[in-house]
Amino acid sequence: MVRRSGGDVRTWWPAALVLAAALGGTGIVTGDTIESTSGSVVEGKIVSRDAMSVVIEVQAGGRTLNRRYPLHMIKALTIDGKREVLGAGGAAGNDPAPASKSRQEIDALIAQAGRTPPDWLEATPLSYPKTLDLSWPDRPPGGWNNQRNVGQYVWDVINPNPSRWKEGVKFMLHLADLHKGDPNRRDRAWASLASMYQKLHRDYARAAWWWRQVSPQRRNETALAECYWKLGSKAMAMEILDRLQTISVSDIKLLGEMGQTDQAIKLAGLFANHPGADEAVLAAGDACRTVGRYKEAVALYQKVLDMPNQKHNQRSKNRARANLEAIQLFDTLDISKVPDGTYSASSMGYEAPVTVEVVVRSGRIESLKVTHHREKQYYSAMVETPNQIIRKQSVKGIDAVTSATITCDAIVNATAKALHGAMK
Amino acid sequence: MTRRTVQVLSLGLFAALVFYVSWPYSARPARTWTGLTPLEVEPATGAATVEADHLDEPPPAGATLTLVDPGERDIEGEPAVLARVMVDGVQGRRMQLRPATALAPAAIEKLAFSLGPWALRELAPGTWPSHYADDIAAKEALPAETFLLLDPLVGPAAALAGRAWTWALAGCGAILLLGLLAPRAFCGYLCPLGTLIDLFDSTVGRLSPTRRRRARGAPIGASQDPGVRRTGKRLTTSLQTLRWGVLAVVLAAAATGTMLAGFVAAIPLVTRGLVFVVKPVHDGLVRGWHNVPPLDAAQLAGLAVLLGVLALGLFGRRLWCRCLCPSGAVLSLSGRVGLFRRRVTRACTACTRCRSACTMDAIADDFSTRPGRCITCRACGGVCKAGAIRFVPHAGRAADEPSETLSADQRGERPRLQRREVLAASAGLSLSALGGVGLGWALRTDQAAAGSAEPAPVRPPGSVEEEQFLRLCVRCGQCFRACPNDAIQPMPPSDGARALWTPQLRPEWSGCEPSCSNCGRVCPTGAIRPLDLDRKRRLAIGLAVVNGSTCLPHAQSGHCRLCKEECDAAGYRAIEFIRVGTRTDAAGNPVEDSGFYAPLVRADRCVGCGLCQTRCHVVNVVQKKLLEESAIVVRAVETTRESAAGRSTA
Repeated sequence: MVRRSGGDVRTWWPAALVLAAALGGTGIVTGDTIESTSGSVVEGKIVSRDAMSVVIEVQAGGRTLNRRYPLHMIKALTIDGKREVLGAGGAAGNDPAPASKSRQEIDALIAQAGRTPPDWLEATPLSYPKTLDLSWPDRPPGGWNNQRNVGQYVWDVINPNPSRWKEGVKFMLHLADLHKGDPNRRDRAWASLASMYQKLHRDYARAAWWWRQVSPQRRNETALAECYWKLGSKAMAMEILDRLQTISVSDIKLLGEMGQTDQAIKLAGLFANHPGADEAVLAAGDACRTVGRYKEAVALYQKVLDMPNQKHNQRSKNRARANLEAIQLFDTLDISKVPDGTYSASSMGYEAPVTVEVVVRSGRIESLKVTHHREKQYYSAMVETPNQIIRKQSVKGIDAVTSATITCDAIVNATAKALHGAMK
Repeated sequence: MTRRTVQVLSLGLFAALVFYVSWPYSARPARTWTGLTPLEVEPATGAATVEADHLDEPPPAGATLTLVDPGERDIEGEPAVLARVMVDGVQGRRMQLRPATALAPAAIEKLAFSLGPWALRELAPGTWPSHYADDIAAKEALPAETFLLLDPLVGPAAALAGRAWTWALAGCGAILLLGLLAPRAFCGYLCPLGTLIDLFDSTVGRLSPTRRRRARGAPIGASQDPGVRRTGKRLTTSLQTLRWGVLAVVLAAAATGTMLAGFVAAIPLVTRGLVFVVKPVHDGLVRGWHNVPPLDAAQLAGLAVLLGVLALGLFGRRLWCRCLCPSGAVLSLSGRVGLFRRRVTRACTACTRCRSACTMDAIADDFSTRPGRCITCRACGGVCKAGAIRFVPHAGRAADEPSETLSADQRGERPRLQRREVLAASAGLSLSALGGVGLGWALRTDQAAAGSAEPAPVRPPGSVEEEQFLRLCVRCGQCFRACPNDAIQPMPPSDGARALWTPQLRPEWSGCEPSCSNCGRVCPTGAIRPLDLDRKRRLAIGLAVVNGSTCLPHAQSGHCRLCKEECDAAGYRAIEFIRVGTRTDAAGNPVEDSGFYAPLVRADRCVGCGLCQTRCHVVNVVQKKLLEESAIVVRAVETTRESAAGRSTA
């Protein structure tokens, strides 16, 4: 809920997307699962089962609950690592890959997506600058010009604006149609479509369908592997990754997101003294952070920061610095290690720093108040946000107050800074 | 009910309308309840039991709310809607939720398989908030601008200057009708400025040496020399005709299309003065002094005018009302045909108590009533020991007490005007009118005085076009009071007399709130038309322009997304990013993460609210000192156009 973009811990949106995908992904499924007919999954411990329904014990909101699901909602169950698909009439089939969809299921999902266009496509108008050169040469002459060259237009104008993402797909379909007799250009349009569905729309079935249309020379195998993983088959994803001849940083990123942390770290090691080492180690650090291996993550980020300064690695260093700070402020913040005392820190609010004063007694936040600010419309944020932090005894997962998000973020960030600075 | 009670009640009502009804900060945004864990979902209907992490203020039972899953967001960043639900019951932290309409099996499945945390919203994702507009609508049992509508000069002056109908004309008519019953009763009972003047006169004013001398029976310029006394008396009498001159100037200027009423009409004058002094103090105390715009020349000037009017009380009671008030002059017209009038019977002992008691100098030497001055306050009747003063219906007097009344002259019948006086009055009025035409013309043509503000001011949403705006705006200051965060502020004297005190968007201080259209709602003359929120959000008052050479990303000197964040959060989504400075690798492919995301304003969506400019100014200019001035500024637009709005308006 809380945007971490406010204040000092500012993240950049592509990074935010990657991070959201990394943190929001299904991860490694360890317990029993129930899959719904539309592909949603709940994970827990199946405690009972009868002719009508299945009861599963789940963790939600810090509680243990028993949830009952009627059989008609359930497509498949995984009990003790064994997956059972409940077909029509209760016909069950076993799947060799535990807690994962079968190749047939994945193929069916992709084929289904390929057959049907997205529901918004028809209502989306075809719109692009008339100055664009639709002949789309491989190497456009002249310098960078996002109003003339198709690829540069997509990169500069479509990609940064969510409001243009649907329009982008429509435009690419138009280009593919325009060049249907030219395998090279048609291939590029398809690859571009696949990439848009994947990175922008996060529609992995359609992305996979288009990647499969693209000729092998132009196909991004890592991207296809990510689609398989997102669709529910880690096995299919690993099969591609294991087959790859060369490795790239995106492979390390994907391995990290999939929870193959050790493999990611190992691959990153191969980059040592090669161009891209900074990005590879950064990706390995992210992989560790995703699964909560903060100590290793900190070490890897530090390794990036310790690399000799070069023009091309500044971006990686900035990101490593930001992630390092986020880990220290949020992930590894342990209030029980904060000595008793009163601590103060500031973080940027709407127009000026918001300063908080936090009192810690016996490893608990005893009080928290905003001592200085220049916020304009903060409604209940000045009271509600400190209350929530005290109630949760944490700066993670704090809900923002409506219409006062920036103020809430500033309070949370300032509190994290104050506590981190005081930690033993 | 005594006159004082009515005065206090009227002043109280006026203060309530200006300072409570028009005060925007009682507004609360639509609420959201977060951290809801679904304990149980009924598979047949989708009815759910949820438990909140904490529930200080639960939603009211029976409320229809939107249930969302904040963990799942669409490409615009809005959370996924699970269902529209009704709150069936609340026990402790637990809530029973029932879908408002029957759900499809797929929707029930989605509910059942989501383990939360969920959130309940009063406002569905993607819809516009309306809390500021709702707040004033809920408080406005009586229009906030009621007193301004009733000022008898506001309507005629605005209608004449703007050549347009305004509801203030109806208010003027209503007050003139009241005047038919009791002459200038508005001045004596209802006018908040009159009440303030009475209050000042009876507290501070009575201490002044001039007033003390006069209290002993001497008129203005009193002297022991009878000759000088006569001169002083003539001076008082001629001063008291000034208000006709002021009225003539105002109306003549209005005829030429220049609005002067705002400077001198009673209610705009007092509203503006009070808003300028009470508003900063109130906001400072309640919302913090950092939320008060710095005191400027416009506010000081408005305050000075009010203080000046009150200070006249040092020289005589109700001197403003007697000598200068053009609104009172309009009422004097109806006072001449008033139904209830002051009568003096033969019982009069010529003790002169009534003359001392009269604050309006409405009693002539022979104790008859001077026409057009009596405000029906009946103070004279109260002090008359002989009981010789009565306020009786005009028509009934002959039948009631014919034998007891004084001579026709003393009975207060209209004194016959001398030929010389008629000539003098006509000459004075003609001169004033000429003066008004001249003044109006000068203000309209003289560039220095005619609002030469550069660049052109951005007017509040709903404003009529600039020339008509200057003709209609009475500078009452009510819109400043109703505006959240002081997005509009008065134009200073340095921008010309014609634009003085007119509202102007000041984006470097604050932008125009999307959930508010209060300024048009409280405007008495229609200079700012009332707009429904849907229209307000599409009507462009300006256009944001990015300075490509200073904007941090455009100049490739730093990452910044403040303006876009603001625009998206407001819901206009009029700012897009474009990548600038993309680097390419050897193969000509763009390098991921290279370059900057720079803002680009979509003219078809921007309404000129100024929120982007506020953020750039307060952070990049004031706080971080990276820029000299905001790199995105709102410019006025020539013609108002409708934007292609971002959010839905459901």
